[in-house]
Amino acid sequence: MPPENLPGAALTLRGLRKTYPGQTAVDEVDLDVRSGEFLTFLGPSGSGKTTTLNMVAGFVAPTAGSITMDGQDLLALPPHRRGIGMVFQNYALFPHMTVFENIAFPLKQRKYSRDRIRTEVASALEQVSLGGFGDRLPKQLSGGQQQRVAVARALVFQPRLLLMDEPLGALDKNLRESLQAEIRRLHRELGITFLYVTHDQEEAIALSDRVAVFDRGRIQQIGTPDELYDRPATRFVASFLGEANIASGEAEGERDGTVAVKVDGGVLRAPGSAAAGASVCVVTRPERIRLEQRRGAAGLNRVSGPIVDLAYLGSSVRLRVEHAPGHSTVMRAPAGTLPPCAVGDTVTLAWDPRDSVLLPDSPSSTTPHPTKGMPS
Amino acid sequence: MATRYRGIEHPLRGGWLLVPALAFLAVFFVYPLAMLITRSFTEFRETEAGVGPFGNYLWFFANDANVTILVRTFTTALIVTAVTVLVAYPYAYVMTRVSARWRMVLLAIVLLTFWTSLMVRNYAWLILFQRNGLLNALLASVGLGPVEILGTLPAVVIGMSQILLPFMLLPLYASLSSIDRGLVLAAQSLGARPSVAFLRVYLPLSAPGVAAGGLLVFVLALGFYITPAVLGSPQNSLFSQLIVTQVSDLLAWGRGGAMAVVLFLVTVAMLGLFWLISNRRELPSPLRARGGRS
Amino acid sequence: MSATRVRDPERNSGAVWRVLQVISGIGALWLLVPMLIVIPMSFTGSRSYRFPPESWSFRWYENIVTDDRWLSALGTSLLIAVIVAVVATTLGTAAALGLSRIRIRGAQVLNGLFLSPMILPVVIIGVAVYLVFLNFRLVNSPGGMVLAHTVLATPYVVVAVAASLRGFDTTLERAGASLGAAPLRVFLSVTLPIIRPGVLAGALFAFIASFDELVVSIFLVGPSVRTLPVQMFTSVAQESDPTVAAVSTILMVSTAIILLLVVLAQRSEPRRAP
Repeated sequence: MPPENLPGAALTLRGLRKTYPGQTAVDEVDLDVRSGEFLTFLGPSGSGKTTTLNMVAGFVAPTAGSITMDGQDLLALPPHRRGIGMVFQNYALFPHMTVFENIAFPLKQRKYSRDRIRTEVASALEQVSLGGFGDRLPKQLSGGQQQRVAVARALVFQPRLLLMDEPLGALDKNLRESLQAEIRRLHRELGITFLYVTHDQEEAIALSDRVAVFDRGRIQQIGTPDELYDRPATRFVASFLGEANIASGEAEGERDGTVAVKVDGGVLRAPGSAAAGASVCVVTRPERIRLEQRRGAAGLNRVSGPIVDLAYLGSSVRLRVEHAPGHSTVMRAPAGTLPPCAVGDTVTLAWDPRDSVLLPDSPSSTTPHPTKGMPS
Repeated sequence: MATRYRGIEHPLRGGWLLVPALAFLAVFFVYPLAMLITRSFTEFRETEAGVGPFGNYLWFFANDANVTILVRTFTTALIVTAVTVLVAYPYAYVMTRVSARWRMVLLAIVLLTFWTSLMVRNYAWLILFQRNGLLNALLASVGLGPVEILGTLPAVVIGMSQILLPFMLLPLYASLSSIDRGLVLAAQSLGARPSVAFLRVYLPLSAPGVAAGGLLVFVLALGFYITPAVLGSPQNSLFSQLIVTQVSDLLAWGRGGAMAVVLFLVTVAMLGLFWLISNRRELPSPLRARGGRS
Repeated sequence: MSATRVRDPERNSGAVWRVLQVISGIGALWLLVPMLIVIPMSFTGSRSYRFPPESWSFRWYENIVTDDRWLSALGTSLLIAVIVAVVATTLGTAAALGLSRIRIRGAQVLNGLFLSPMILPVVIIGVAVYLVFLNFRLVNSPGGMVLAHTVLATPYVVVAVAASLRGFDTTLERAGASLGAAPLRVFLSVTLPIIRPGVLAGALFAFIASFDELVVSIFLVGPSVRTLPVQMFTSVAQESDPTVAAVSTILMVSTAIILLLVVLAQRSEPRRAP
């Protein structure tokens, strides 16, 4: 790995589309990836994120649109001349080559001298803490070690853009977390641009500078993890990132910059504006909701009902209240802050309307967690 | 005292299931082979009597006609193997890359050939190669021929290759379709041109399939009897025909047995060679890795 | 868009692809054409192999029915093949099960022994069997034919059943035992239904191995036992008799129908997890 930090490449996608007979995999994707940033494509399988990544790598030719890297037209180049590093989902380590030969492969294609290959591969192995493993075959390594070899191989020729396609998908949770830390460290040290694909929202939040949420071939929203979590732009983003209470209903009227929405089991208010009669939904994160012990301030959103589920999750407690038949609201509070309560107790949940987000209702979205929050 | 249950993990549990098949093979397969081998050391024609136990083998190798036929059989088997590899590799590769419908069609053609009676296939070539048959009719239509192909070695090679092609195709297709396409893409993302990606990644990964299919075809070709008998002629006969002649026509059990042993040893040697090579690539020792590095 | 755009690497196109397609096409024709020309040949009107035939007739099909050499050869072949399939399937299935259960050093050697009749040049087996069967009075006897064919057919059953056993989860047998089933009961109601496709495939292989056998049969035939391939072989060797073409056509059509039935049966059967 180079001691000097090469600047990362800036990538621009414009009007990118890929259609297969009978289906559109990617539809009108516009995206600017900044130099040196860590950007993640997040979405369920079949949402177009991997197809988009493959178009950047050159494995899939777009039906329409353009891809440029630092102003250069990438679509004019075959994959082997794009100079982009890629870590594949199942690592794609060559099973008939040793670790050393795998990592030396891109350097041989670039006609490096034998001595230079030896030193570059050795330092790449050191970089991923696998010094001394050069003579092993891939199948003699653990999953985590294989993953690190794949990273070393993709970085050894000093690309300015690294693509990673679900690189941690096959690993168990503990290993995943420690490798996430390693990937963050590499990104910090190398300063190159990382484009990362995952369906795991926790991974996306933990790693990324910015996240692009994909659904049905389109980018639904791009933003920092905070922005996506606190101000989701669509119902899909709200449900895909973290846990959300999503209550659908009909807008009744606007007052003081908030809209009253008639939902099952009551009326909820949320900031924004909507025409009376419009189908909307109110999105509220569980940790914004409190258990009301005595009647508090006016103007709060309130729902009441019996507790149907109570779960201790270590540092926090999760409480589900059925506020209307078949509809429930979930709240979460730090452990020890709740008064004693049990399943079956009738309680009232309350929160500030400003902690809710008003969104147009779009029930056709591929909702990945249909049981979460309030079913519409 | 009650007998103890041996437990489900006992290393010989279920071993008795092997007994009937082993007994059957011992009597009707191993014993006949042993008898044949014994005969090759004990039964002699007058000319070899008194030469010692290896009389039949000395006769075999002293006789130029025998050695010629052995070499011819070897070369024929090699050519047949090469032809089947050259046709089967593209065919199997195309099978892995086309739509499911076309794959079914290509596979159906192979399976239909594979399952059709061997005698039918030999007979089909016999008809095709007739002096007034389809081949010469086609040649005549472009102003060539007629050629006298029936009874020649090329006729035998063409027929044998077609008959053995499915034996090459089926293992090769299994091998090619198990190769991860992602590896070729990975090679390209690392800077390899498509041709380099094929030569450095795809081809080495398909080598075990080629070797397995090639070995099968070669070993089967060494023992071919019907096709050379139907499509060839006594002037270019192959090894199996020689054995049959010695045993059936001349009742020379010693000589026939010695020849069978020679063919057997050649076959075993090929299998052993293959085993050695295929096991060496598995060796994860530092020795192999160093070899790859330099 | 721009003309410099590179083609999709995952799309099949380009000169190399075209060459591969052409070679595959030649391969397909090479496999099919010789067999297909047997069909018109079977309807020729004259006793010759001239192609295309000058006149047409059904006389060679009539000949199969009227000349009892052909019908009796077919009957002998079918009978022997059925017996061989039953015996070889029993022996081979038991052997494959046994092989999958023992964990001793010799297992690989035993496996090699079971497969060797498949790899060894048939002519060697033919000569050896002929030598011994002469003494046992098993030449020119249907029983001898069955025994020799069973030697050749058993490996196919072992291979097919062993393949279906590779994906077999032995915890199912333990579950059966823990639920109170005796070993034989476990085999019949748990193991056998799961490996059934392998056993059936093995039986089919064994049947065809016998029905199609020619080299060993040539040594063992005689006036009282003559199989169909031997009848075809001698007929081809002695005279140009288009009856062989008619028989070949019938065999090919039967093969195609059986193949189709097997494919359809596999389709209709719900996929079992491997």
